[in-house]
Amino acid sequence: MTLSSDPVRFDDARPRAMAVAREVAAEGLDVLLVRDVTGRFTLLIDDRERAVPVGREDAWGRHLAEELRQYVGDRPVVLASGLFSAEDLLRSARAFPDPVPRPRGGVGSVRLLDNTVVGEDWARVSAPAPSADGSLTHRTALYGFKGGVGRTTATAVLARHLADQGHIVLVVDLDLESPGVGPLLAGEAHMPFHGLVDHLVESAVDNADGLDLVAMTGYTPASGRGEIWVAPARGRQRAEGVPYSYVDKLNRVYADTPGAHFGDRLENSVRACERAVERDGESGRRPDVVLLDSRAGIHDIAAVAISRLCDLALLFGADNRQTWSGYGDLFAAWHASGQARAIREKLRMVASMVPDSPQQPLRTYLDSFREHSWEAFSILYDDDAPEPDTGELIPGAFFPTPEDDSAPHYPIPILFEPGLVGLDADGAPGWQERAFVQAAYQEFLAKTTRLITAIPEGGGER
Amino acid sequence: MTTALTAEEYRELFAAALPQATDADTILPDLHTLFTPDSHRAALYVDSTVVRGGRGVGKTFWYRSLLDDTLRRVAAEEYGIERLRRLIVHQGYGASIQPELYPGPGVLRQLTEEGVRPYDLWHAVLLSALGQPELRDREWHDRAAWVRANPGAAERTIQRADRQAQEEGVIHLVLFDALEHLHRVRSQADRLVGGILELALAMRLGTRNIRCKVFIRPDMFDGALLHFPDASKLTANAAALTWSRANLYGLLFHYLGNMDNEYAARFRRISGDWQTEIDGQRYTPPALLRGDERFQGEHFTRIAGPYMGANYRKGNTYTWLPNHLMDGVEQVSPRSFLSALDKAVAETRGKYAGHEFAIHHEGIRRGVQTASETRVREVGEDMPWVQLAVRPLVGKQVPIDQSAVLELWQEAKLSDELRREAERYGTEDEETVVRSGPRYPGDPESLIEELMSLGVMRRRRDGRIDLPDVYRIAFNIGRKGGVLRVVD
Repeated sequence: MTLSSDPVRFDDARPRAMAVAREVAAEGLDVLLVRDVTGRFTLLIDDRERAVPVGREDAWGRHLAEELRQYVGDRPVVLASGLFSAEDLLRSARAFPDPVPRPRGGVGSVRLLDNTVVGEDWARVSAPAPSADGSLTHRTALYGFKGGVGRTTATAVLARHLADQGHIVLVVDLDLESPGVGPLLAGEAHMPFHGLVDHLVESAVDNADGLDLVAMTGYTPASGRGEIWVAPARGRQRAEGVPYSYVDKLNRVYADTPGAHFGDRLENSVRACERAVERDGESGRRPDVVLLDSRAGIHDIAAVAISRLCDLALLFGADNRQTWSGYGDLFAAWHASGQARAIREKLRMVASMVPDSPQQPLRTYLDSFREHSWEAFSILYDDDAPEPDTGELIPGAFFPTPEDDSAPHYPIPILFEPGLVGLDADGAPGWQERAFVQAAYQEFLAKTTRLITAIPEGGGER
Repeated sequence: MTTALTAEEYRELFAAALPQATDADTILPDLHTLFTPDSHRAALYVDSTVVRGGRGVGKTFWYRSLLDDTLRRVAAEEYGIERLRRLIVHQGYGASIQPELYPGPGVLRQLTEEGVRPYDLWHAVLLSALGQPELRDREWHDRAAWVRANPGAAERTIQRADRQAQEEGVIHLVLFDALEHLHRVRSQADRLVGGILELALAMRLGTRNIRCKVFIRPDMFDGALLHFPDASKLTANAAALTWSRANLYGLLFHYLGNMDNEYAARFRRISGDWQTEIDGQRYTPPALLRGDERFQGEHFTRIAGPYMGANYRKGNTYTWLPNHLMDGVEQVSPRSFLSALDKAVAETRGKYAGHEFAIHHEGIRRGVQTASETRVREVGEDMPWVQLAVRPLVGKQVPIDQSAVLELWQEAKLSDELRREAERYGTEDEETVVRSGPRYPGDPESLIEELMSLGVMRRRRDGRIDLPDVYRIAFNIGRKGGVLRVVD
């Protein structure tokens, strides 16, 4: 127990608030705990069906204030009957249930609604649904917690490989703050006049029709069937005297607009790019595979890309402390918001820049990577606890062994290749065909291709 | 005719070919079951004195195969080791009771109590094998005493046998197996093994045509090395019996192709170019089926389907099974592997009989559970103390702090339990049930190290203790994850 003189810090506040909420719920009322952007909590109690006994409201309020101190809201307890829009809050899709199992019968529910400035999309995991005609676009996000792990290069290599297999591939550059994959892929192709940022700003004022958002690259796949399209983050200057003001646009894209959160807007923009391929391409088909080159770090774009836009997220990393503490934070956030089950279906680690030298053999490095990865992922895996009554394990728990090569934590390697560091794609045509590039990416390409084109659980038929 | 087998025909074939989990202990090598994985070749070199291998990897299997003239010829042929054809094989120690060839556990206990030097004892075993006339029809106590009293005569016998063998172009090979049965007190067992290794080294350095081959568990080898100098000379060319993924599947396919029925014949026809040997009594699988992961994977896909569920994201059937049977030192016992498959087929027949493949992936999952139980039982037979040590963790979750393990052991009074266990065996029919206990029953921290070298436990990078699934599941020990199971 914390001494009463110790200040309550941010990390203490949520467990304490949840505990109070559970006490209130134990009295039979549904409770929504609302956290504001500064981290302060308010208890919203649904008293519409069942009245709160006299005096309880004040007692709960005092209790919450004692427990949370600086982290209690201005109004500690709010009753739904006294609110104009209680229904909106209580039914909010953004609220998630208490991850701790609750006793059954006569007990109210506990939910948490977290209001934040950024990053709330981490807490809303969903997968793209198949279209009305049943077709499914496989969307894969490529993400690195730290930049500089070869994510963009891998995206470019992967796009070619998929096209070689006969797929129509669209690569969307979501790295808005440092666009990269567009030029790397497009090379000599004509870049479109508009980029993803253009769609984001134009759609906010209902002016997005007619933007050319995608370009087909000049790459001719070996099979003669595939295509690679690029949706760059930034477009290019259309005419003399009309400068392309990228920064001004970027400054406006993250805002929520009336009726649409940033996440919805980004999703619409990606869909627009997919439709543009269908509209502009000779095949008249939507892409089979969309690769989302997501930006690094904990950022709204990454949150949307991983949690919502994709059905598979490839998480890049090197085996070092920054990688694991970074992913540890992300996984903890998904866990805390009750998304662990949903998100682990999508995730897969990629070990990028894997060394293979006599001093540091590949095997040793990957063993260490696998171990660290498994530890980080364990928060997203089931707690496989023996039943208290029988002492037996419940069959079917999802906690793959470290050696399970189909598990999310199991690393898919890309070998470190000094020849690829600081690659100038324009100046090195045909770089992807070089033997050293092929060798470095061999396993990555074989495995990710099969993951990308697998139909996700509950997905439609192609 | 090269018609593929139907799912049900494959199931028939599996049921006939796979040893039942319950009698896994009785698998004897014969022309049908002798499989020669490439990785075991070095273990059969005459100069590989020490052959290390954990429980159930085939130490006794090779011991018995080398004793059998026909099987030895098969091994010589398949491995291309001509020296195996020119051996005179002797039993230096083994699980069966052969008082004329070597002392049994009861005699060994008596001899160690009397303070007989292990080296003298094994020297007497060797000289008996070489026909030393003075040792005939004597008690082992007297034989060891004679060796000690007559070093010159003993040396001359060795020298004569060595020279004669050289002239005849043969090699005396003395085999030692089942060393965990030597003595129930671990330190005594270690001393006895130390004596064997010392003798083996002396023969390797001092003779050309007398060799020992010692089949031994890695933890016992490490323990015995503390007991004599120059031991490091033995570690240099020690061979290991390990089973790679390709070896395990090679074994499976070998079993499937060596049945005397129509399904096996058809399986051979659809899976490549099998060689027939020994008048059609034995079939050798083609190289690709024996050891090429890709080729094997394709074949296994025909039997079990490609994935552990709807698609690739759920995992590959070919890799899933061995990956889930690995112990803490990343080894898979072939018995666990085969018993898992046997269960997988039975489960499929019972619940998914209409499945398009012979084995349903849920059957494979169930098979792992069974293999886990099989594994725990096997280890329990050999080393009852392992079960005693793990049982206090039942109902808990791993990874677990070492201090928590030590506390649980203290609560369960494990040291007392281990001592009682040792005494219990002392009072029973010691000829058959003597087993080796842990080396340091009174030192819990060393116990943990022992369990790790046996692959029962492993240490995570943060220092906590973990159990591989193959042990964890059968013991009902949980694993600490973040996601609480939903209570409906």
